[in-house]
Amino acid sequence: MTAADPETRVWHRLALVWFLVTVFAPVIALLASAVQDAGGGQTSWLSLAIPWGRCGLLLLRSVVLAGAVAAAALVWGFLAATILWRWQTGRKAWLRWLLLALAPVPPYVHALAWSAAAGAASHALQGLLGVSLTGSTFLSSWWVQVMAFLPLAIGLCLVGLESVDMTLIEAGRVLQDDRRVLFRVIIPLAGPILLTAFGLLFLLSLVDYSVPSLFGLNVYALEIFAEYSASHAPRLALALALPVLMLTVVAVLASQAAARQAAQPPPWRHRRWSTPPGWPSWLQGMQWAAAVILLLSIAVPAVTLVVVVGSWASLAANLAAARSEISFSLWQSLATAMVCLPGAAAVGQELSRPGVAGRLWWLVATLPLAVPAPLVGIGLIGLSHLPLGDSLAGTRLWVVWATLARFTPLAALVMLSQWRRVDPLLLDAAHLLPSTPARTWWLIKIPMLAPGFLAAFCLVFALSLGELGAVLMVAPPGAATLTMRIYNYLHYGAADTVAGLCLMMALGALTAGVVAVATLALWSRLLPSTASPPPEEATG
Amino acid sequence: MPRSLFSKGVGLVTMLLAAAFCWPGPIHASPGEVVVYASVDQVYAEPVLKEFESRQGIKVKAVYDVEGAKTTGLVNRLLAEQDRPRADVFWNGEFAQTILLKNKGALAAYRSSATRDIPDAVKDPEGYWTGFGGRARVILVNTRLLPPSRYPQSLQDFLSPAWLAPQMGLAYPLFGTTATQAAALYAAWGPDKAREFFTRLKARGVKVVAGNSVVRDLVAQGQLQAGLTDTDDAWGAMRRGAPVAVVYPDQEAGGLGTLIIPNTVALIAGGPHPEAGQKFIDYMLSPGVSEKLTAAGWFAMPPSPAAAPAPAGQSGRPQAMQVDLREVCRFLPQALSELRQIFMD
Repeated sequence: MTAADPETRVWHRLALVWFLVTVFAPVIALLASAVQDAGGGQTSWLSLAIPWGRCGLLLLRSVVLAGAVAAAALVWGFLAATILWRWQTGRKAWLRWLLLALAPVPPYVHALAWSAAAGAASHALQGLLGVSLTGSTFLSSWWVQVMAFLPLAIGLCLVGLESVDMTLIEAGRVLQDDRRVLFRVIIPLAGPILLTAFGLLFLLSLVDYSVPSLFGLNVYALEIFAEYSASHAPRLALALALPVLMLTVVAVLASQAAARQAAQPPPWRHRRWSTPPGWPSWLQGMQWAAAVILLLSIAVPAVTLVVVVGSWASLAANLAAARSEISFSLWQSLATAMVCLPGAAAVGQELSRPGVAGRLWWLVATLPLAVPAPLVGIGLIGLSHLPLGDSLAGTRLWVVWATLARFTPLAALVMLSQWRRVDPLLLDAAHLLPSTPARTWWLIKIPMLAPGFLAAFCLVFALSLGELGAVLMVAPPGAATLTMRIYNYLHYGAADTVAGLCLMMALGALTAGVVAVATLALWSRLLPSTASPPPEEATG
Repeated sequence: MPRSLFSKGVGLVTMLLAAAFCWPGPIHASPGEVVVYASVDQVYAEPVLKEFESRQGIKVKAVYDVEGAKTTGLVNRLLAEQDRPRADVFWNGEFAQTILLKNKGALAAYRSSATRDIPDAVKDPEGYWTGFGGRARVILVNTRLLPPSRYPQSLQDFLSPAWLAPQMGLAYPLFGTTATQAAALYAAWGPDKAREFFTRLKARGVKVVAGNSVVRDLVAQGQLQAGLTDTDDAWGAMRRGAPVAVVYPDQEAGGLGTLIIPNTVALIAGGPHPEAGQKFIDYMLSPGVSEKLTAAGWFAMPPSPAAAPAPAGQSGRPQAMQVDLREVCRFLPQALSELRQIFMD
């Protein structure tokens, strides 16, 4: 980390404290309640933390499913990302990030869309060939989760590929063919971020029960909620969640053990391809197969939503009926996406530290992702017993805190990628300027970090739109989010309403992405001296 | 665009967004409003709440539960807020969780004058909660896959080889009204027989899915021949033109009868607007509300037997399962614990 003036250091530390408070305060409140119970002699629930017998088998099945989902999403995401990676100039360079707009579509909607598609295909096959489609519950759950997480996987793989120093790639291409460069240079150098992507996808699959339960596959995450539903005791659910937290620790430490950031040249000397890569035909085939899968992951839910939504009049009526939820959701997501940035930037910078400090911050940034969403909400309710919490509970800020606690760690991971692209010499030079720290930030640091800020903003905005578990616990009476309305109408069976609202949700995230990308493009034109040169027309 | 102007523009937008963010909304309870936590489908509850608003001039602020939260939603929220209640009234689509809230001390006693005409079997003797209306646990059948002569007529038919097990379905008996029905079977049959029933159900390979709405959708799509669900889900599918029919199970003479699950309404202890909460309860228990909810398709059991929709192949009011609601609640923990062992493997 570059040396900074005292005032900047103070603001940096304040941002770190902000991150720790917003992300960990709900979890600490939960832990405090659990410790209080244990102190009062109620300790039998601690045995739930050791998965044994039936729970152990459930956890094993969940780990296998999560591993399979993460592996498939990573492989297909990487292959699709290698195609998008070639879009380095012009409008395509910005458009490729819009895949993230699909992130807020609930996995449950993917599951329903694919079930309907499979049902239609089975019906057609039955009529034509006299055979019907049958799939195992494991395979069905695996496929739908992969489809739901694929946009995020592609985005993360693209970040990994973009982090590789093009100088090293070009040097390798002088000596070896592009296939060998891919396997011996690009993949190893992108490895740390790809491993992180695997860990994140693994975790997201591990804590999701909505898709497996739809297909009748029992998973450990459902066991946690079954316990919570039966006992109404958060400490029991927290105890059951401890093995998932431990798995997160293992995954984080394992991915960090493979990191070679200290030996990797910094990627801020970014250059474009001198000539486009020439992949072997078998690899190109795999890439295009991944592209087809990506298109399916977009087309099946999109077509299903558009077909089910019915008429434009029906869509307009449904949107009009949901206008208060739409406005509240947009406000809440915007606020979360904005407020998370200072803490995310500070923690992202800490994540790049070598040694023990960096590893600790990795744990700090990733452990919260393993806490089940409703427990975050319950933790916040626990905080409402404090004087400040009592003032905030029942207000919109409470909902923003819930989504901050859930998604600021993800924003920190995005900011890490951007910090690694910033030339520290430029930061040092900026500190030498006879200027106030605020002006240095406004004129130099923010422009350099702008792509990361925008990417983190879009990601957190999209995920906040789709968040349910924690928000349900703290939503103020009379205010509901769009996701809550969607799930209500899912249960009721108003498929056209659900389809229309899901389209609205995806459109909202897409609009945010377009605005962010356009802003970045405009910003880059005004500030041509930033570390990442603006997109130029392809010359090869 | 000049750089300075663009920077100023970005700064202005940022400040406006920050100002909008800083507007937190109401902090403390305002007079002239009532806060209702409703574990009832929003599409049915909302019109009722709006009518109360227009009649009484009291603003209703509602929080709705969602099936996706697997009943870890509002009940747990009420328990977590027990020291500082935010809600005034809890309107529940069933009764077991309401009785649980009473046992945990989260409710306040209130005897509405409207409870005079409500049978004692569906209200708390101490006045902590009152049942009204009701939804029935029914068998939804796909009419294209099964002729009327082959409709299942009993819960025991789910164990019969006359029907293919993978073509029969139910929701996880760990949540919601399916859990309530499981506890009711524990109370009606005894734990041993109920446990054996569910064990054989699981062993046969009967499809267990995420919720009643999923059962409804799978039956309507033809992926299941028949499934256990609630009447509101069933009526919804019929209204949308799905090829389905409803069977009230166990209607033979001397049979078990069909479980009728009443809605319950209760006053929250320490709520911010107790008087408004009491008015809301009075309104909910008035006869017109139950009839409206029946006409909307939420209730299967209206106050007036003549308004009950005729079940498939049956006439008259369905025979209800004779089981004490408090006994059902007493068996709920045992049922949930044992059923987790059976179904979560």
